[in-house]
Amino acid sequence: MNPTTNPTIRTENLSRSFGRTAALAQVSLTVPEGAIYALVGANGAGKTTLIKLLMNIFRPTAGSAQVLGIDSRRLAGKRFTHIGYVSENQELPETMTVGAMLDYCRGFYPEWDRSLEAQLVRQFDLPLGRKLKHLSRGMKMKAAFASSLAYRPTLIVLDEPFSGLDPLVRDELIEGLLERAPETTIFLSSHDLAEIESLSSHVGFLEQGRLLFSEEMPVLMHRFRDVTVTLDAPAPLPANLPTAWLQPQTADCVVRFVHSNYSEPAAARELAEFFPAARNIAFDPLPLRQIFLAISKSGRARSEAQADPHAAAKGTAA
Amino acid sequence: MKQILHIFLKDTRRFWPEILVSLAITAGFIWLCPGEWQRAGIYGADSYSLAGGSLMAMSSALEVLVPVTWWLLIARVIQAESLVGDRQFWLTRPYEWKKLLAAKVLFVVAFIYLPIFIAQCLLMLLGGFNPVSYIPGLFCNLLLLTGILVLPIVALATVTSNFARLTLTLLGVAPGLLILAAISALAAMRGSSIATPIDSRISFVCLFCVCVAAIAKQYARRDARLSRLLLVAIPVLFVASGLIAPDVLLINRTHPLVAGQAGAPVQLSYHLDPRTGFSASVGTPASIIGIPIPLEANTATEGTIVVFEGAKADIEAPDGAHWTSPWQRLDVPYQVPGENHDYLTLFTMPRALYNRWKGMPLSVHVTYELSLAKAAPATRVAMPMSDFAVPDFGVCTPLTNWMIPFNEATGIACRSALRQPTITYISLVWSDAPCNGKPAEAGSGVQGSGWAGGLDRETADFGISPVKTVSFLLSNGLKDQRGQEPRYLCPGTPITFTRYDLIRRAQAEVSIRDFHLPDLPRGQD
Repeated sequence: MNPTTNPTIRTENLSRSFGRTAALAQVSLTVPEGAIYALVGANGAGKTTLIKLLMNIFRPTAGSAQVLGIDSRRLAGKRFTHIGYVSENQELPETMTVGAMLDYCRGFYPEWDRSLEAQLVRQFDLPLGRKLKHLSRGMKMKAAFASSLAYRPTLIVLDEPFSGLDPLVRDELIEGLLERAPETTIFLSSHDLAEIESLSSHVGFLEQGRLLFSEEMPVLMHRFRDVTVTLDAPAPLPANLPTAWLQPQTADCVVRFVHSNYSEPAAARELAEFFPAARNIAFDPLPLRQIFLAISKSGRARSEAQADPHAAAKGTAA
Repeated sequence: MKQILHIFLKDTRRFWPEILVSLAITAGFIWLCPGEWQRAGIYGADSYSLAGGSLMAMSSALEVLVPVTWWLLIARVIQAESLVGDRQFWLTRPYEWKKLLAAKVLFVVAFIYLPIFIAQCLLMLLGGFNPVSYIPGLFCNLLLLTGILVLPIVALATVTSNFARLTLTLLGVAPGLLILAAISALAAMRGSSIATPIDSRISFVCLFCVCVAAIAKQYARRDARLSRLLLVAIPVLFVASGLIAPDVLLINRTHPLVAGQAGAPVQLSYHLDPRTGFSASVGTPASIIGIPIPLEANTATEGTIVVFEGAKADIEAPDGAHWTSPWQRLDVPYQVPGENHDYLTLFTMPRALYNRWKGMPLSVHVTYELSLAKAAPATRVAMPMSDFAVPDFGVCTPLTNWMIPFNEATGIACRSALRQPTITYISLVWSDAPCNGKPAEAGSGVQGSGWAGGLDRETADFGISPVKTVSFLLSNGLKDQRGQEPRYLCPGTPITFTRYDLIRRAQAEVSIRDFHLPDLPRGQD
């Protein structure tokens, strides 16, 4: 199947406002079939809102979303037999035991695989006889995972699934998830960038409700570079630096910034133009965490500059 | 169906303690409720005793507790899959809203309707009524319970996220309902509205439909704001309808005005007996004055009683000034056909107007909303000393009293199935002396009589208990004014029950020229 012609998720100008606050503004993205798509962004960026729009928990104010080829607003009932959804703040049926919850969920899914359920119970070491309300947060997440994976969903949607979990539980969940990856599409939001980097094939970055980029992980990793320019003598930062250079800083003879649109020949030409006296220029790959921080900080600085240009100018001078 | 049963069984497993409590309270109600009718027969003996009084209080408490357990059950089962919020586990599971709703309906049917239906059948049997003969009435009662109790609770449970919020909402709604009741009472006092048979049905249908719409909308869309707006619309609608009062339209429809006196089913004439002076009365609030209008009513059909339900007055002063009252509710005692044709009706008017027009010769035109009921063949029962059934009326019990000798009756207490009986005239002969188990002597004794029931023709009245106590007061039941000494009903004394069936509703008019507003009693003017 061609992923571009029949994506698992596709949004077009998807927007959602709560009163006068725009939680999500004109988000257009595509998640191809088989992808592990990671949605990243700071707190309040709109990740959960986007996921709830996709799951028809919220209705869009404008724009549209298609999930498994269906308008998200029509996503209900049987359509959910192909979707697994786990959220960090989901309210589980706390009065049920783990076993009762699995029994109950089983009745809704014709494709429920009892052997997979047993395997997940073993793998996550789930106590079947204990009530969910008596379980730790990690155990609850594992129970939620088991109840969402046992029917082999075509699409797994995870909203901050690893948030606040200890490393052991995280590893167990990721392991369980990756075992399902070949047969499914995974769409997840997370703050855990190290994990995302290791497991995602695609990444989207939300900032204040806007999608700054959405692309394949290797392309992204290639596009961002930590650039270090060593000069002969200390010099102030040149004016009118390219907007793709994020967080430019200078200290003594060294200028550092994050290049957000790196391609080797073009970057070399640009740098030669701005720093003709450069003694050495180094381009280092960045981990996802650094990319995330660079984008977030530069986005915040941009917002502050727009809000108060005078103070921002003073800050730059300092 | 599989999904419906799946959800239903899950709810049953989860809420079995609540179900058991509800069933236990219903069972307690079945056990204690018949005691009220049995104790009605030995009223003095039991109700004043500690045990009897406690049992009666418990029975009354259980009658309130039964719907309270419904509230608990409904809240718990509806909110197990809460429709408010965005974090619920079930939102992203393959629930189909129609099946979810059907599962909840099935739960309510299984653990609320079925138990109460069985309880009502048992209570009818215990009350001396065959439930099979009252199946439509029993279903009608369930419909009323649905519209007035169950649906509003379900609707509120669908727009609140948990039991605490539902309780707070109900506590918030209660003062609102009190305000609504106060507004309605005020409107009634000011005479701006009277109920017609259509009124209550319209209100019921409105309440029913709005609740159903809010519930369906909430299940289909989970748009709590919209559903809450719908629910808020109900009291607003009621208050608005009470204030705007489209009574004229409804009354003209239910009680048509017959043009011309010749064709009128009843001839009304102003009949002021000069020997009996009538005075005006101060109403509540004191800013309204009650004006009596004594009437003589002659019906076209023999053996017919006139039931005055409402009045509207139109007054013209000598200077050409006009005042028309709204429709006002009337409560005029019935008169036995052939014995008395005199009725005392009353309308109210503002005190300021009364003061301005007092002493002036006025032209008064009063339109009455009335019903005519014709006597059916009477049922005569020779008084037994145990329960006795009266066809088309109910079951009666001799009334005894601990202060009088054993096996003496000082009256009768009656009960009816599902609703108050049709207007019935009860007549009997009292004995001045205890009967000692013997029939009264022929020709001796004092005549006693009273009216019971009403014209309402609904199949059932709203209520948890299907057996209704019929209230009536028999005249001459006491030998003296102080009420110390009762009269007695001897075994075999004939008691006559005459039912009056509605034959027609109509409007009739009376015009009075040179009418002078009567004076207020001394000290009240």
